[in-house]
Amino acid sequence: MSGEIVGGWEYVIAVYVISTLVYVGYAYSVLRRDNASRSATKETRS
Amino acid sequence: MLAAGCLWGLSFAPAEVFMGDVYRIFYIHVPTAWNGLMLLTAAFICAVMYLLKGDLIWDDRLEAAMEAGVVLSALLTIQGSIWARPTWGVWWNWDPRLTTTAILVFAFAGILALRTSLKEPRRRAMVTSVATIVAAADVPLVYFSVRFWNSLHQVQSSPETVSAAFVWPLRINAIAVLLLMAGLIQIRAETVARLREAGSAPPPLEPVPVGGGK
Repeated sequence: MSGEIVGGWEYVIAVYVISTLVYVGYAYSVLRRDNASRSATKETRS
Repeated sequence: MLAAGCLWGLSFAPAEVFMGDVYRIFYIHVPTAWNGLMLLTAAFICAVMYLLKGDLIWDDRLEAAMEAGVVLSALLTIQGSIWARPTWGVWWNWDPRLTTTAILVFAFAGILALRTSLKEPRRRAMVTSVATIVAAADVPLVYFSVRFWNSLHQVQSSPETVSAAFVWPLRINAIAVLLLMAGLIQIRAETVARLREAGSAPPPLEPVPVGGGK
C-alpha cells in the first residue's frame, strides 16, 4: 500500500462548484443591495 | 484572472505525489483562507480606527470587511471539510485548526447578527468595535494553531517548500480573490454608509399651509 490517493476528482469538482457559487452569489448580493440602496435613497430625496 | 488561475491549477499543474489530483483543491482553498483571514484582520483594524478616531466611516468599512471575511471563512470550512474526506477519511475532526476556524466563523457571524439588533449608529459602532477586537484574538490562533498544537492539518507552506509548478496558479488565484474582495468591500462599505446616512437623516418637512388655513 503506497498511501497515494487515486482519483478523487468528485471532491475537487464539488469544491470548485461550491466555491464558484459562493463567490458569484456574494458578488451578486453585494451589487444587488447596492442598487437597492441607491434606488431607495433616490426615492427618499424625490 | 480567477478563472485562469483555476484552469491552470486544474489542467496544467502536475499532480501531487501523495494526494494525486485531490490536492488541486489547494488552488482555491488556500487563497480563500489567506483572504478570509486578511479581511477579518482588516475588520479588526477598522474597529481600532473607529475607537481611536470616532468616525463612522470606519464602522462602515468594518461591516463590509467582516461580512466578506465571514463568507470566505465559512466557504473555507466547507472546502476544508470536503478535502478532509479523501485525505483524512472523515468530513470533520475537532482538530485545533478546524476548531479555531469554526469558532472564528461563529464569532464574527454572531457580531454581524448583533449589529442588526442595534439601531443607533454610534452605539452599534462602539459595541461592534469592542466585540470585533475580542473576536479577532482568534485570527492568530487559527493561523498558528498548526504550530502551537499537534494538528492533522499541515503547517503553512512557503515558496521554499512548494514546487514552482504549484506556486504560480496559487499566486494568481490569491491575487484574483484579493482584487475581487477589495472591489466588493469598497462597494459594500459605500452601501452601508448610504443606508446609515439615509437612516439618520431628518424626515422631510411637512408642507405648511399658506394663509393660516382660514
